[in-house]
Amino acid sequence: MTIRPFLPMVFILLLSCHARAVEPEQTRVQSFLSSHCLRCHGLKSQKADRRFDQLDFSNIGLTDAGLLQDIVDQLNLGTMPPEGEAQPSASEIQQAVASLTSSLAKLREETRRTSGNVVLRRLNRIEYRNTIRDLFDLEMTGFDPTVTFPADSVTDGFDNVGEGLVTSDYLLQNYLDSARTIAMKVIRPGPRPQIVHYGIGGQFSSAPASAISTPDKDGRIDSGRLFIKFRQPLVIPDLNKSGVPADGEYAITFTACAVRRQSRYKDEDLRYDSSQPMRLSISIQSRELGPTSQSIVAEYEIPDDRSVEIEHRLWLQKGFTISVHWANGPEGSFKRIMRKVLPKYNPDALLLARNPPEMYVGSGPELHVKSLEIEGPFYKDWPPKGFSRYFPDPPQSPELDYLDQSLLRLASEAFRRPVNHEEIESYTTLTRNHYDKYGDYWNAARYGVQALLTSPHFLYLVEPETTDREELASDFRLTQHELATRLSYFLWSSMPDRALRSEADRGTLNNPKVIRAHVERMLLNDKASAFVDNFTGQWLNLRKLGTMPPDPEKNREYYANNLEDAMRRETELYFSHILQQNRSILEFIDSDYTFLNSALATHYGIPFEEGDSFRKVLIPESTVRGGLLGHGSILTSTSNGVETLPVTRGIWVLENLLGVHPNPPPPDIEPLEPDTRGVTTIREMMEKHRKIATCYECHRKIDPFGLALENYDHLGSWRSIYSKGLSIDSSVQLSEGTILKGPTGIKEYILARPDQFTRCLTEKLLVYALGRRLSFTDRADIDRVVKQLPKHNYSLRQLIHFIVASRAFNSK
Amino acid sequence: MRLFLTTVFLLFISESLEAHSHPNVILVLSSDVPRDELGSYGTDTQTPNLARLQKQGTRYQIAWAMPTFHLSQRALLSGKYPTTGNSPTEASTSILVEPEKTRSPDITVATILRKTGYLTLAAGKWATDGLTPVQESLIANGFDQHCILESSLRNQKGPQTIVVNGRERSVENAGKAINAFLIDFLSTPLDKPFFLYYPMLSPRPVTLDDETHQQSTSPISRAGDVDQFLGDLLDSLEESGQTENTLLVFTSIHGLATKTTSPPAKDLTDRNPATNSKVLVPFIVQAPFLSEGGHVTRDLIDFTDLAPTILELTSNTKLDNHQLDGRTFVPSLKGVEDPFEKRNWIYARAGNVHMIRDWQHFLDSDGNFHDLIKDPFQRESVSPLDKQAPGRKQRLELILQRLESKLTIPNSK
Repeated sequence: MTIRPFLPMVFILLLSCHARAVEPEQTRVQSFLSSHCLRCHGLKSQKADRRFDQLDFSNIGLTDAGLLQDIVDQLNLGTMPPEGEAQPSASEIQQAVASLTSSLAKLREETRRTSGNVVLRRLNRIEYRNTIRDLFDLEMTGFDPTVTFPADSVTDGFDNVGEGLVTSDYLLQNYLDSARTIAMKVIRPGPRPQIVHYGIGGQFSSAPASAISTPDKDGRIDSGRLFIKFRQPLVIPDLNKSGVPADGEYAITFTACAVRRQSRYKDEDLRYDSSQPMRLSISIQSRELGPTSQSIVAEYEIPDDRSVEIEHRLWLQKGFTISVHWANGPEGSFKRIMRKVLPKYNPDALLLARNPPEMYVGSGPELHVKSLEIEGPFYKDWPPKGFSRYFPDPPQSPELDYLDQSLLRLASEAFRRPVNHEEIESYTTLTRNHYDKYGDYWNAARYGVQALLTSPHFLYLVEPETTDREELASDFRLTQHELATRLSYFLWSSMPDRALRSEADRGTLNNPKVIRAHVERMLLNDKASAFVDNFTGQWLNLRKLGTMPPDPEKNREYYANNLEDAMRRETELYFSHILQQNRSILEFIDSDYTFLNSALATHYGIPFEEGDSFRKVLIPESTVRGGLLGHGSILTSTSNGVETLPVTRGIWVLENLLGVHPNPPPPDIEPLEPDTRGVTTIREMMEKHRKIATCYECHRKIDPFGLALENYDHLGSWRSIYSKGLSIDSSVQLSEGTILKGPTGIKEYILARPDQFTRCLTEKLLVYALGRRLSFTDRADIDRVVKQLPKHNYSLRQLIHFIVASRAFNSK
Repeated sequence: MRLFLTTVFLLFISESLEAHSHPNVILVLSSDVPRDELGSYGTDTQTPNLARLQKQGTRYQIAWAMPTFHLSQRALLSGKYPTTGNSPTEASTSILVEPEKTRSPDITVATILRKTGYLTLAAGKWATDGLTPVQESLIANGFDQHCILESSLRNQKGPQTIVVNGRERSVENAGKAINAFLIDFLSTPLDKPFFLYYPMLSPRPVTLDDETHQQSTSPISRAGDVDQFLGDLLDSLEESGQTENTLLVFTSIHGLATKTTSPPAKDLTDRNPATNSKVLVPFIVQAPFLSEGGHVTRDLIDFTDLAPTILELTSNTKLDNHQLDGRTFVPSLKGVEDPFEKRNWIYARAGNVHMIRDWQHFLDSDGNFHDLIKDPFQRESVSPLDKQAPGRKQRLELILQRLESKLTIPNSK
């Protein structure tokens, strides 16, 4: 195993690099220090154990960085120089802080710079999961081998950057456990599993039709009736004992009928929307994995007063069960309806008592499920493809050579490159020993598979350092297989498929035309959704959406219409559209269309014709939308669920659209106190930033972009006044003096600087594509893209081609 | 006032008389046979004719009569709960003597049907208040014809005397004779619809008064006899082609304790007339013009519901129930699900004790409260841990209070 020394080594080496910056500014800092600080923190006296006279500003190292940070912090807090000493002027402090902060930023940048050579990185969770899916042709619904893996840390905004992807003891243990689970799932040499058939109602006697027995505490006297949303699922008791007997495809059949969609009860009493057709959802869960395993896999509209039979096919992992729910039924509990709603309508019902459920059943809206059955497992191929690919024609009696061959086939796929017998000898020996010891042929095979799946060659995207002079001369170019791997993880977050692999095997992948064709092909593949999800999720911080959810009481619609998912979907569809249609990246800034469903259109106040599902919608002139800045996803994720956060929004614009990274805030800053009475606007409160000189330094750059977006509320709805009636002023002045008017002003500002946006997006894409931080060596590649992209109408697809063709992408 | 309303009502329904075909109505009430000996309510007895009725009809799981024949008959024919008074005579005996003379007699379903052109016939047993002569009482209650065993003439050894339209006739076995009369009656075509009220007599002589529940014949053989009588009626109805147009209700004149439905006779509750098992009766309704049958339901029914139901079906007019205590169960027969069109409590009364129940809980005016699903024999109190029970009890209390104030005649009268 020739893995290069681990990251810490590299890191330690890098620490010895020193920032080199000799500017006149620094002599100014030095004079500031000598006039205000050195008397107490110098040669004669070292109060608080601090001594600044030895600081060499021409050669600041990490050891000094802590001291510099101290100085900045104390100046920011205004605690030094202490009272009674001569105080420097505000402008002096401001200058010193600015200069010290920039020195520190440079130092940070330098010390973590990788010079573009650290490429050893492990698969992150998403990549691991996708790779397992593609390696063994597994159906991943309800199966996540990475579920117990620790979260991947985010570096430079992305979770696929090698530097952040550390490996812990805990993770290693998880790799072992998951590999064992996967091996058990994949090695299925036996005969095709028997088909089982369970159900209730219909031909099964334990029927929902067996109407009336003892009313249970939820009033479910008739098991075929669904009264309320979600809490009251309908299950198949026979199935619930142990779940389905084997992984496989199952057919769920049910007969359902919507009854009394509109009833005597008012919608607000039932917390229910009678204008919508009833929807029945199917969800899966596993008792073994607990409630987190539950997920909704399908939803069907059920017509009024007419029974429909619906068959739904889905893949279930062993041990999973299914249940059906009324997805848009009355909210809350049946208890509430019996205690509070019924007495309003029936004088024989007693307010706040649990009236007999028989008094309600049959009067309100109900979703009737007359039968519910499940049959399976069915297989298109047996043995499963993921097994027969590596273990074709299994021998009748144990043959160890066959095992060796099979493991070799698997290793060649799993390691994403050709592998020879010698390389995997340790694995085959392990397998043979296991067989000798326990005598179970297929368990030995599983053991071998488990070992391969915990190999660093599988877990790491290995691009081994070469000592070969010839290769050195070739500018550290990636091998064919490494290139295929990098491309595949860039666009699919998974291993190369057969076509890409054969291209690499043939050695023709570095032909620009060939690789271009592959990029085009790969972007059209369904797997490219991984690129859309992961890249937009991280570039635009969409993953933050939902981490500060709005108050459910005050924002009912947000939850009732599932706006969070709708917003995320809008942005993903938008990105996808620009990618697939090869549109200009400037449409990210402004356009005259977006993607909406009816709920989101209502939220935005944009007319939406019939239907409910997502489609491309032209934005009317009167509405201020278009471009990412009008997307609810971004506006909601940059708010805290109650009010907008102009600072967060400003930073978002700077970092993700303009490529400017404001310095992090100094420690010990008192946050702005929220004004619960609503008598001052956020703008007035943020005036504080102007009054304190050290705050002003950064906030004059950040705040304007946030304040210009104030017309969008915390959920991205348009507003012209605050809820307490105060008016919104969304015109702002940038630090350099430009005046922007609202969101349109920001768009115009960025569109006037297309290169700056192009550079920003290119950098983001490149980090994501390479899985590492950028360094000054990548600068040339980026400059080239920024220069050439305008000639291609700023096409997003072309941008991706440029990145794939860049020197950085093709080098180690 | 009441008379006026009834008159208006009568005028209204006679208007619509010509427009519809009017179903015949037969009420068959068994006596002396416990509920769970009968067909689908139990398992042991061979009762093929009840099974047949059930297949074509709707079987009610929770139906209440009154604890005595007398009260049952009053509730059934009038559609109203019998009022209670505090007269000393009434308190002293369980055979309730109604203070009839203190108020105008109720208008019965028979009276109304006769006026709308029905032939009305009472057969089997007839309960009187003991003050009015039998025939007078029958006419006052609206019956054109009768074929009854007069209660004063019952329980004799040897030949029995039945009264057919005023004429006494001596027969070997009154029960068989009356059934035979009815079979004749059903086989003879009539030019108008009929209403038959038929509390069955036991085909075998019963040695003691049915109020004491002490009989010489075994319940099993009596269940078989009831089934046989019913079967004969069903056959002749079918032969004369009237089944399709006949509403037939089979029930009992009151509940009856047995080994399987209630604790041994020594148990206190058995002597207490105010229990669920004293009023819980079989109730099967065959109405081919409304429903194909074969249904079993937990919809609640008590005896006051028969009058409004019959009136609705015979007049094709939905009755405004304000005048009656009962409520039509036509929606239930039609399979309507809406509970707002059905009852959510039922009531009975024994002496001065009022009882009320819903699908699960029982409450009487002495404050006894029971969960009939967990405790059908009413032997224990409801667990204090039962979270639903207090609310259910409160609701029943509220309704019972309303009823009590309506039904109790003040002492001064």
